[in-house]
Amino acid sequence: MRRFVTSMACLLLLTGFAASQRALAAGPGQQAVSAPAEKATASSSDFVGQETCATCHEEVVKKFGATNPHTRLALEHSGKGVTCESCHGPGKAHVDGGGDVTKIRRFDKLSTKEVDETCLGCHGGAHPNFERSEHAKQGIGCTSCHSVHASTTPEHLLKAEQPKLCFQCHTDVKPAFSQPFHHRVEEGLINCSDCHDPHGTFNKKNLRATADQNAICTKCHSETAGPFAYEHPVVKTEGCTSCHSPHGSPNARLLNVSNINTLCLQCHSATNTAAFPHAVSPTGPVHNQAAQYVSCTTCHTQIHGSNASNIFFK
Amino acid sequence: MKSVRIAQALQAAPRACIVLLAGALGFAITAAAQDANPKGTVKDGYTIRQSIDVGGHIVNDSGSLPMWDTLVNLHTGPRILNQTLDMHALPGSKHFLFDTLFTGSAGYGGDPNNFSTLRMSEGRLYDFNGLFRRDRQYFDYDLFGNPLVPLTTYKNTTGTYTFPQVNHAEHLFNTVRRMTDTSLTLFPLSKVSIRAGYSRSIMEGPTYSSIHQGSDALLFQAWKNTTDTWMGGVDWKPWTHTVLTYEEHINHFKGDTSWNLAGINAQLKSGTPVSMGFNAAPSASCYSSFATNPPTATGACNGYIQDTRREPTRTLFPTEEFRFQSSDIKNFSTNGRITYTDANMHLPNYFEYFNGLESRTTTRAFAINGNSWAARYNVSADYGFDWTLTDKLSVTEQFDFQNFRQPATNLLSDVEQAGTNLNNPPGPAEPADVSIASNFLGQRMERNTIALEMQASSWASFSIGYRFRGRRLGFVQSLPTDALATGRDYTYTDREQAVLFGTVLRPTANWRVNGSLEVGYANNVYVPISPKDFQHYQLRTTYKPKSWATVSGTFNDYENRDNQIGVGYLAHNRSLTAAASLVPSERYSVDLAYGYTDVFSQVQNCFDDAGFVPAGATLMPLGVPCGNAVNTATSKAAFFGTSHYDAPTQFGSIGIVYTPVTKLRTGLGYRMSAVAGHTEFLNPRNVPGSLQSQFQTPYASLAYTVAPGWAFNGNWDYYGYGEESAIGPTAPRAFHGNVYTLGMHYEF
Repeated sequence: MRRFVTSMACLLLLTGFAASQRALAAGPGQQAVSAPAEKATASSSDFVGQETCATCHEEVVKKFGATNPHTRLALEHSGKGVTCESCHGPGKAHVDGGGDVTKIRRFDKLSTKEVDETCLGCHGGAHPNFERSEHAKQGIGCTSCHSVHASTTPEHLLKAEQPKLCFQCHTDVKPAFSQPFHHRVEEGLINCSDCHDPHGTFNKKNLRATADQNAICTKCHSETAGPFAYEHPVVKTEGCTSCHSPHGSPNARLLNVSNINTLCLQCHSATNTAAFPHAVSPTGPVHNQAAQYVSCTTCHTQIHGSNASNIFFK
Repeated sequence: MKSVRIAQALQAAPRACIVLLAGALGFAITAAAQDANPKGTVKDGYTIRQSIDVGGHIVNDSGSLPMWDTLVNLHTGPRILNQTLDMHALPGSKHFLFDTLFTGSAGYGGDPNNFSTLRMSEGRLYDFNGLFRRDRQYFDYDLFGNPLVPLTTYKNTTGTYTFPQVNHAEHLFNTVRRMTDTSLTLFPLSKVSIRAGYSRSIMEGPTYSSIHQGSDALLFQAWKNTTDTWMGGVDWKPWTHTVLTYEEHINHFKGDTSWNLAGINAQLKSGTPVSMGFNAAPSASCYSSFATNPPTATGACNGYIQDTRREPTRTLFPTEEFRFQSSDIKNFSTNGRITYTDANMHLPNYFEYFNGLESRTTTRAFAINGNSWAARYNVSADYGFDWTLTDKLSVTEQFDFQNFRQPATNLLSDVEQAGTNLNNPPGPAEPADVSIASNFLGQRMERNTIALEMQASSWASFSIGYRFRGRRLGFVQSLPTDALATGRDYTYTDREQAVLFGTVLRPTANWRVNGSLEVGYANNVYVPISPKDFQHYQLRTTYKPKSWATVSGTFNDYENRDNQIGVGYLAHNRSLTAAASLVPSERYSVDLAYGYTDVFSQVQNCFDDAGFVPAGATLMPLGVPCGNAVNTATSKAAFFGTSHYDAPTQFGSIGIVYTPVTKLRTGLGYRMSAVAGHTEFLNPRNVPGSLQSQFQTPYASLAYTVAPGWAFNGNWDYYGYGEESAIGPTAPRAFHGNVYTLGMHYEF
């Protein structure tokens, strides 16, 4: 409780601080959003304004449309926020040169890293892990997935909706979602980005995690999060994917194998107890595999953890 | 029953849909004449666009309806297929509540999945996002407990009785999950912005579970879990490219699932209902009469008259998180975070009551009261940077630390009453048997990943990296089990190292090739299926021969092994997939995809059964235990062999979109996933099931613009599922069905 009160007090203090800072941030002549370094070093006389850009690039400006968040930003700043020159750099030399294409920043001529630097100039705070992410390392930059000028999803300016966008490269993942048992991604219930952050995380496979650093699976499957009085330790230490294939599987409950007894025996088998510290406990199969014990989970129903049974019966 | 259901659906629903569609069409024609501007209206300083899709499904399915509901679960009826409202402030206009608003919803009226979304923002003041999702999950497919009560006919002098075959899954689920996520950002563009979020997830509904008390009984499991999550955070941007963030997360879990006896299949001589168990009908000698319905039990065998369990659980997870990110130093970007969680689970009032008979222990009844407590203390710290050394060389570094500790206690007070027959009342209460457990699970992990990236040329870059992970794990469980007379108490450590290679090639401007290789080794593994050696090969390529054509392909191979004697773990997950997207004109497009995936694993296991073991299994040496089984000179039930699982899967899809005229858009496609896998059978009720199955879904669609702003949509989806092997004593699980979706789209 004391921690909660302290936290709330901190929040309130910062709220007050925010209000005082707001006027400063939005004051005349200030760029309310971060801008690329080039813009910061250029003098204001190098900028011509988006109306000038529109005189030649009317089609491009039209494509932006009212739904583009960059347009919204421009409107919110009376045309001085995010405009063409925020990304393409000051346009005076380009205009004075009669449209000299060498004197304006053209994204199709930039390297992926240069493009990313431009976008992260404003969006770095939202995507702090991007430059170390697998996507960045593989040369998949911002404009690989986002289209600033002509997107199909106004909210995130994606080139295509999820999961179609992701499947364009991850062709190996798409088949899993057509298997009999799968998470309902193609049905639109959840998105790839519910579990993965394509901009990178501190975890492998760009996986998200819950605030207490549990598996992201427990956000929806909250009954498996614990902590339990009796933990099935591998759930916490080895992760959900030791037993489940999260994208899709031919097996019910997205299990890695079709026969649950085989799944359990893979660890609970006394074939080499010396190699595994906990193999000395649930020694091998305590029961035979006859019809009476059709499946391990018939009795061990609370297999993710239990608060009342050390053998996960209840 | 099934045919009646289909007939009713076909008779009633099309009528409803036709009436609905006719009404919508009539309205459409009238409205179209009135609305000459379907691309939105301007009102009160906003550009407003709205759309609504009204229609419904006509479904005829045959075969296994439980399986249809498990995999598809679409049914006949009218639906609000889609609805959107999009409002944007006109330039120069000022509004009090919002500048932009978008709301949309889909699937309402009976579909298993539906959602609503709301996004609002007001200039620099706030951004709000809200999302509600509902997911009905029906699950009645259970190879794990297949089948339940078998079709068994008993006969004695009193008559003949055939136990009805129980075909439904042992752990049937018919639950609904409702997920609400909201987030609010105040002053999103200011130096200090404030964020708040609230999420709620409720999962509830009727399900079944089971309990073992002599025999296995079916329990009705009234599932109800609720999770509330609050988040408050502040972002401070002291410099242009630096952000400091503090967040407080509070997650509250309420587990209110309860259990009660179900599956009554007999009676006592007094007429009292009793369950004799559900997965194996007891022998005929357990019944005194088959002349009654249900049969009358002698009362001397295992049985359940009552079984009730309540364990209301509350868990609070408060987490503080501090993050920072900065790229203000030239060529150097860095970020990190620290989180601390102090979570507590409380189960103050555990209650369980059993009234029945466990003949082996002559337990006639028991009542258990107790409580449990567990905590999760988690400290995590992560730090990383990306340092551009030269134009062609950069280095990335990431360090992760996590330390969680979970102490727990459990106290149970068990008061038992002895007895030998269900017809007699339980004996006097025995002294309470109190058990106190003190448990612990903890893990401390450090991981460091460093990589050097080099831009070798304008078309090639390479990277090489090294990752180290070390962890220490501790586990204590104080209560003994059947297998462990003194409980468990151990520590464990391992160190894992891996070398990482990566390359990005652009042989031409239109061709990209990405490759990566990870080769690793662990000095120790916690469980047999955690690999000691692993290699992960990935190769992805995308080629755009024309502006309208994209071809991509992926080879992904994850190889795991542990060659220790007695483990013999070998596994791989290999896939070779390709896709092509062709859009030669705005009038037609073709999407193609093919994939072959092979998931394989094998590990050496021992088996406690002489009857059902994998092919090639051999007897364990005399005196060497396999669980409870030990081979002796006269008794041999312990076997040693290799379990295997192999699931080669073929996937293919094609989708064609053709727009002959502006007003008409058509689509045609087909998706198929087929698996022909193998694994061992460990008991006579195992069947390959979905491991040898085909799931295919051809589809077609048509959209016709009837009038400006009005379009008729028609979709046909076929779902076919079949198992290419014996399905065992349960009813066949194959199904096929057509889903016709008709709708009218109105945009204004």
